[in-house]
Amino acid sequence: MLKIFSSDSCGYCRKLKAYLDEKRVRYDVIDVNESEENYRKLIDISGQTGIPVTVADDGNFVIGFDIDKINDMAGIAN
Amino acid sequence: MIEKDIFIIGAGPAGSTAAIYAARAGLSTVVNENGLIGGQTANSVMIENYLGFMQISGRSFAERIEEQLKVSGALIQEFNNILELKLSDKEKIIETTSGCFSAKAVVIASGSSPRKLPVESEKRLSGRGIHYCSLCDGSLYKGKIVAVTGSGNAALEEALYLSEIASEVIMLCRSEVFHGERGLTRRVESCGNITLHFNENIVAAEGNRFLEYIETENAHSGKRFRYNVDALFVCIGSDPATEQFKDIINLDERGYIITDERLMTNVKGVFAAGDVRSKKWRQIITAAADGAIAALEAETFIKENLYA
Repeated sequence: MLKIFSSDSCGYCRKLKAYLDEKRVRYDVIDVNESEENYRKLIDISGQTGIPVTVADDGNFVIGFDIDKINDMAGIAN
Repeated sequence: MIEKDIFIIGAGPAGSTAAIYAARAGLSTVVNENGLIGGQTANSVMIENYLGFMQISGRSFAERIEEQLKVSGALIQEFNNILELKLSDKEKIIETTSGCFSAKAVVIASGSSPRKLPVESEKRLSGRGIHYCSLCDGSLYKGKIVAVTGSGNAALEEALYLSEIASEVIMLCRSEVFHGERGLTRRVESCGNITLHFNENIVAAEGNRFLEYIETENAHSGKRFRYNVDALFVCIGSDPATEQFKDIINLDERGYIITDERLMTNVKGVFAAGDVRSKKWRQIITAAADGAIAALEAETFIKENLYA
């Protein structure tokens, strides 16, 4: 299942989640504000601090709401 | 090819207003946005100078725009890129990710994007300590030391927002004074954990994997200062999003679109509205006003050409 590093105040994060909901793609949310550990995980995985970051089971990740890359990762047909 | 009366590029305050006016005028309307509806306002911390709202967050403002757009009847394309444009007096063809459109009139309301910090390491440290949106990334710096650079309303708002998250906010202004509203300025000046530094220009931002410190140079003495910070939020203005139009539409020396009184560009039937237009004042309310004028003029243009 996809993992999304996000926060409540991030507009692109909300749009990304709404988009995946619309496409019926399941995901887990990791709130980077919830703990220092979550924030560190975001940095360890993506090497940066910008959100959203979407992570696939195979470790590939997409920084930001790049719709084409998200479609590829989630297997959403255009 | 999808035929429409009017194609609007951008769904910030200018483009969204144009879309609402055009749709209400009965024009078949499409509004295309490559990012978030609401444009830059969606990432604004707080809006306090728009008629009808004493105080509204950028997020709520953008949500209201979206809600109003949805009921207007305009076709909304969000996160949709424009791939190719053929704009001439006779035809207007717009190829987008989701399909190809022809329109009788076009309104360019592509807005502007935050100006990048002019230091060598910007690209390497962007998202790694250098940020352009405190609402998006500010919460990552809870209890840390952050800096904000800029002197206008946006910078003041960002500093106030960050002062509630970070332990210390260092505000660095290249100018001698703030250029924002007096009320906002006073709030920043009286905020306990914001320190103010004027006449300081950032000349370097450094760090190994992440930003670790910034260096400034005083405009008068030439003396250099170093600040150890976890993040730097940059609010030093914006640049027009006109790259896709530069070979077709006349731009001024700073890259903004030149229009006449009707907000029409050098191409007949192509209008420009909002921050992307060459003009003196760039506010949400002036962008919205531009959008209304552009849509009304586009409607007039379509009618004139229909009966010509």
